[in-house]
Amino acid sequence: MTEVFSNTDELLRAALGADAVYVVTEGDAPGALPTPTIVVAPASAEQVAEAVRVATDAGVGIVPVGGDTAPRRSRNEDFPCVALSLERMSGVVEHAVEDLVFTAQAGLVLTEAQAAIAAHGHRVPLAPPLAARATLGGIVACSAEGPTRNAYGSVRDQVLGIQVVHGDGRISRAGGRVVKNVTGYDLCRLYTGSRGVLGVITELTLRLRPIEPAACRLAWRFPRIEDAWNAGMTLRRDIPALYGLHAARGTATDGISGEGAALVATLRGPEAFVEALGASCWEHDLGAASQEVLQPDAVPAIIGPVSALDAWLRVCVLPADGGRLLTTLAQRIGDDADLVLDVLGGVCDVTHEDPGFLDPVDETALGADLEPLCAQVDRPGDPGFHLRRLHLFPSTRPGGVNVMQALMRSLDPAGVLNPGRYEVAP
Amino acid sequence: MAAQACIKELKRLLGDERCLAEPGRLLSYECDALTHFKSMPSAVVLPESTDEVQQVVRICARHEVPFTPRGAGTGLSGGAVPAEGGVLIECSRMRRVLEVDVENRIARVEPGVINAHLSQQVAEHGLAYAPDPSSQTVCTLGGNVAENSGGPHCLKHGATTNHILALRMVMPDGEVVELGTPVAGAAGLDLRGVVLGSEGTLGIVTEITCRLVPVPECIETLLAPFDSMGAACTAVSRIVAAGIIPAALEALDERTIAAVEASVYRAGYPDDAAAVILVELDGHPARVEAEREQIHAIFRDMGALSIETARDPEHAEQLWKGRKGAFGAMGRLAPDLYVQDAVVPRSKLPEVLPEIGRICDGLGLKLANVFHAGEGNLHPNISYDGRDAAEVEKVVQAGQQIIELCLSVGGVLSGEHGIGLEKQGFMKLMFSDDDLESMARVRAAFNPTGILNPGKILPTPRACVEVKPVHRLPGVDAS
Repeated sequence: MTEVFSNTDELLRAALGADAVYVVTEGDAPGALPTPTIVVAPASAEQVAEAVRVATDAGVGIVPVGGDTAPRRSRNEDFPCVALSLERMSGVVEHAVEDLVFTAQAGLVLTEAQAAIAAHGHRVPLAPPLAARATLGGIVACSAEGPTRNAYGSVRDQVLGIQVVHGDGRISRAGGRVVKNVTGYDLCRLYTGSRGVLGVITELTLRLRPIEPAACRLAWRFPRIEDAWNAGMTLRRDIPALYGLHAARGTATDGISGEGAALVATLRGPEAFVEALGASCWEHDLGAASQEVLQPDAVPAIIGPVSALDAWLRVCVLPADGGRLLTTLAQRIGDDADLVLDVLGGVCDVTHEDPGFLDPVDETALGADLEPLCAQVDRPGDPGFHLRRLHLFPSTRPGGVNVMQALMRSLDPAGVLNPGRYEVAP
Repeated sequence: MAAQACIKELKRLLGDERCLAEPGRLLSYECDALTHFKSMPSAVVLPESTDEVQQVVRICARHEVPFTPRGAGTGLSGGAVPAEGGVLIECSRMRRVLEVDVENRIARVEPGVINAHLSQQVAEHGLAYAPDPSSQTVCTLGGNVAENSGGPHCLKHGATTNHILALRMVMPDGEVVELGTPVAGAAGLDLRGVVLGSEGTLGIVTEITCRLVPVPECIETLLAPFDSMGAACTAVSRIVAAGIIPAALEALDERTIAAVEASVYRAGYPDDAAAVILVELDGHPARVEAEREQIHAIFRDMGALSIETARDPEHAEQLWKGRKGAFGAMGRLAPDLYVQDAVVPRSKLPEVLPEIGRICDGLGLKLANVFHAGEGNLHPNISYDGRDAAEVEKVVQAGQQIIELCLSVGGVLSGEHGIGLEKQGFMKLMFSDDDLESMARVRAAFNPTGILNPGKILPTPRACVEVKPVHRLPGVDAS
């Protein structure tokens, strides 16, 4: 450990107490930081603020870590950082049952939140990758989308209120605990997906949804995923009330009878509605090789959240461009990767048992093919890819890079929060 | 002098017909629909393209003359009131629907397109634009973006921010930026999200990419009168707690019912009820049927005096006419109307509404309530005579007490009208100095000189130029 780090360790212990600081000397360090790594685990927003001040004074960066499901991706790997773990901030603040509103500290694991509120028939409408250990704060910081997006909206749509600690140690709140609010600037949306560069999220108020009383999944088999997608577009056009609709190939279709690619429709709602909707789907002649009703408790990989980051590429396009996307992926990546394409949302997850499956792919050629589709590309398991993708499609890149940088400077003046995350050229 | 030189350049760019500077032509632009705040611009410009907005902004910036964007002027918090002597950029001539992508359910429009016109234009494709503020037949989508407008159907379908995918925007220095993307999974910070509802203080939106939704297969409108507002509100809470999210869930009180029934907006609401609940269910027929049965059971259990289902679309339209025309109908009660907008947790409605009644009774004011019950979004409406200074003072007192009451039960200052000039003075009641400092820094990142729509939202002078209202409600700190 360098001298700077040793000193930081002592300063943090002095400021927050010995029980709030530990060192990971080997193995996987939080935030994919190099070992040995200092981990500071504050117990309150005030302690987070204190940790941020100590780090700033010491010239050390802070990498906020929730369930550690999104490795830090930074161009500036040499910038010394400590991990700030939210593990000790995992309490439920309030479950306003009648209002379907839930407030908790950011370190609460999603599955624990779901367990706490399920007895009241509620759920947090989020389904991020690595859901078993993802924390509320981490999900919001990374805007970690999953298969509930079409039915309930994006992660940003669920955040009603937020507390953050900025890079200058100020603690601020935005939003509220009500379901409708236009009081001042909507900073909840700004902080959601900001990956910790504007502030460490310490508390969240989320919108809840009732658990639907009935659910059903229908599956069809097709020779090729392009056929499954085509059939899916027919259902999308004719039946707007679907909860989810996914085309897939490979191991993602395990658990569905037959071979080849598959299309799975998920239906949720009152029992009579699910039955009627299921009948409407069933009556459609989609030209499938076979079709079946899946067992209620069977959650095929096709509609489950992603469970491994190592070999995962996510490409998002407009729904009607799904077919062109599949053609491009077949040409550039080949036919042996697993594909799951959310037909309603245009989100395609590409996974492979070999984490190096993209190494031989010509990234430039892939980018040239995807640019006309205005595709958004992410490879969460690859340190550095997130930065590269901002440069991948200059003509479709979201504008306002100067504003992004100004925002980062104003809310994190010393650049202490997740340094290097958005070091993008204007 | 700077303003005169600026106007000269603007006239050279746009001509006399699209750069109005004669006092008589400026009068109708001195306020928005909240007429308490008035301020005369030095000029009103009517650009027709992004390029023209960019040029106007650059001219104003060069002359250091503040400028404010405006849609149809239907805002209810003074957000589009011009800076005194500044330039008002009226976007109503940018009213083209640029593209309708039926397959992806997306429309790209200019900011002057009127809200209801978009739904009319895409209806032939079985699509609609969901947010429906009460002023939807006149308000513009650019104004909706600025205010993050709501409407009765926000409960199920979300407010404007949930339906805007991307924006083209002219920054205060004239740079044109693209924010957001119609494709999921956008990289970087959500600048689109923070621009929504920023009341024209971060940039001037010149192009909007909207999400469209399929027209529901089935729509059913229910009306249930109650003999007490408390029972009506409890019924609302129970509907949502039962897991039903109707498309709309609205409430009107006795005085509102009387005003509506005596007006051209007559809807056939029972005149002996203390409250009526208006419910709209939409979606698959089987879902609508299942939810209707549950709601009937809740209404019966809560002592509804009757339950009426709209017979046909015309009847449904009539029932909605009363709700949407309620504010207009209140014009019968007094010369002026103060429309408050605050939100409380839905479960607090039965507790808060009687208290609001007591506040107004105590001050001898006429109160009528019509509100988005499903979201706890209150609109206490106070009818008064603006020529009576003493009564105006009481209205101000009532407004402040209502806000304090709503905040005390965990509510917020505004659900859909925004802060503008009206509620700046209340921001410190809800937010700490550090909270407001973060908002100020975000604004400064977009608008560092404060030249764009100065003096709005934040309570203390954080911009270079401040609006000084000609006539402000006493007690409301608009400085």
